[in-house]
Amino acid sequence: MTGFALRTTGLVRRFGDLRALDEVYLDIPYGQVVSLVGPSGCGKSTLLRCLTYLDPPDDGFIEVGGDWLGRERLSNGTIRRRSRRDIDRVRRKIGMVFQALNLWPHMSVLDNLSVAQRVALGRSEAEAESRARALLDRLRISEIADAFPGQISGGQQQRVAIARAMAMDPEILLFDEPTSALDPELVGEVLRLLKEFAQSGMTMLVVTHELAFARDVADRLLFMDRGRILADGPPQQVITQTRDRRVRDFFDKVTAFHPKFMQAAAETEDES
Amino acid sequence: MGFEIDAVWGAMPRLMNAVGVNFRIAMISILLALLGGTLLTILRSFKIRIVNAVIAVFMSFVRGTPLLIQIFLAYYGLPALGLRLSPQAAGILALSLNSAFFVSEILRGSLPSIEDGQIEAATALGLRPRPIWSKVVLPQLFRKTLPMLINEATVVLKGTALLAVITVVETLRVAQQIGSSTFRPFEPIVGAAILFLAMNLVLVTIGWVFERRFAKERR
Repeated sequence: MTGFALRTTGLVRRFGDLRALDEVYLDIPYGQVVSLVGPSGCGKSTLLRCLTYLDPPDDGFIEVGGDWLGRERLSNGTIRRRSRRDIDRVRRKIGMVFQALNLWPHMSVLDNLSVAQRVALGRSEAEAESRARALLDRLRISEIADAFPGQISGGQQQRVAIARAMAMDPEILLFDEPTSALDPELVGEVLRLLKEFAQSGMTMLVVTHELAFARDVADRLLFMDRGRILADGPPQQVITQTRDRRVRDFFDKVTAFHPKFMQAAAETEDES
Repeated sequence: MGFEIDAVWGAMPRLMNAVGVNFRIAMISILLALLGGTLLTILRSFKIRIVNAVIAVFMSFVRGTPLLIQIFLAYYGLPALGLRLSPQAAGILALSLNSAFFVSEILRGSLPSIEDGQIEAATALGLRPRPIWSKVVLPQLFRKTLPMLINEATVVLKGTALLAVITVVETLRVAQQIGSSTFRPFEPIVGAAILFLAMNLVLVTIGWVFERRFAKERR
C-alpha cells in the first residue's frame, strides 16, 4: 500500500506534437477532495481519460489503491506492461462520472446500477440489487429505481450516474464537470451532494468550473495549464496567493464574473 | 376457364399441410441469420483488414446475385465440393447465409447510433468486451433495428417458396402439384399467396408487440 488512493508519476500523453499531459505528478491520499481547474484545452479531461485508461498515457505510471494500472514499475526498475484483463480489473477501482453521464437508455435505473456489479465484480443478483437500492436511497432517488433513464429528470440522471460509479465501491471517484450539463437551479443541489460525499470520507477528484465548489468543499485545488499542474494547494491559498502569471490571469478572469466570490475571497484575505 | 373461388378453398387443406414446412424452414433460417449476422457484425467491428476484405467479397456476391441462384449453388454446387445436403438443409443454408449478410448490414448501419460514451462508461466500470456487446451494444442494436429485422424476416419467409425449385415439398410446390393434377394452375397459387400473407402477418404482429414493449424505454 502506498497510502494513496491515487498516484501518478510522470504521466505523459501526446497528440502529435502537442503534449496534452506533460509529466503530471499527482498524489491523492484517501479521503481527500481535490478539485481540478484550468482553461479549456489545458488537459483536465485528458487527465481523467488517462486515469481511467480510456486513453492510455504514452508514458508514466498510475497507481490506484496500491495497484498498478496498465504499466508497472518493479522495484528493480523494470517496466512491465499489464494485460488488458488486468487493466479491466484495476480500473474498477476508479469510479468515473462522465460529463455526458452516458447512462444506458435500454436498462432500468436499477439495471444501470447492477450490471457491472454482477458481471465485473461477480456479485449475486440479490447483492447487486440491494447495494443499488441502498445507493438510490442515499441519493434520495429510490422512487425511480424501475424507471428508464429517458423518463427521469436531468438532476436524477446525474445522481444515477454517480450511483452507478459508486456501486463498484471505487477507491476514488472522478467527476468530469459534474455541473456543466445541468440547469442552473440544479447546480447547487449537486454541489450539496458532493459536499455530503466529501464529509462521508469519499476520495474525489472533481474537474469543475465552479469555484464555489473548489472554495467550499475541496481540500485541495489543482490548477492545470498546457498539460502541467501549475498550482497545487489549499483552495483559498491557490486562488488568492499564487504568483504564477497564467494562474493569476485565470483566477482574475473567473472571479471577475463572480462578485460574491470576490467578496468572500477579499474577506479571507483581510482575516489573514 | 374463369377464376373459381371454390378451387382456391378446395386446394387449402393440402396447402395448409405444407405451410408448416415453410414456417419451420423460415424460423430456423431467421434464427441462424440473426446469429450469423450478429457474429459478422462483431467480427467486422474489429476492423481486421483481411477479414473485412473477405467479408466484403462474400457480401458483394450475396447482394449481387439472385437468391434463386444461391439456392441452386447450395443444392447442386456444393456436392462438387464434397458436401451433399438434403434439399431442406441446402435451402436453410442458402437462406440463412444470404440473410445473415443483410442482417449484418442492418446492424452495422445502426452501430454508430450508440454513442461511444456508453461504451466508455461500460469500459470504465471494468466490463470486458464480451459483456459490453451482450449487455450494452446488442440489446440496443436489436431494439433500434427491429422494424428492419422484421422486414428481413418476411423476406426470408417469402424466400422459402423458392425452395420449390430444389424439390422441397413446401407450399408453392404443393400448389403447383395441385395445379397440374386438377388442370387449374392459378387457383392453388392464389391459395398459397393467401397463406404466405397470413404467415407474414404473424411475423409482423410479433414485431409490433416487441416494438410497443420497447417504446416506453425510448429517450
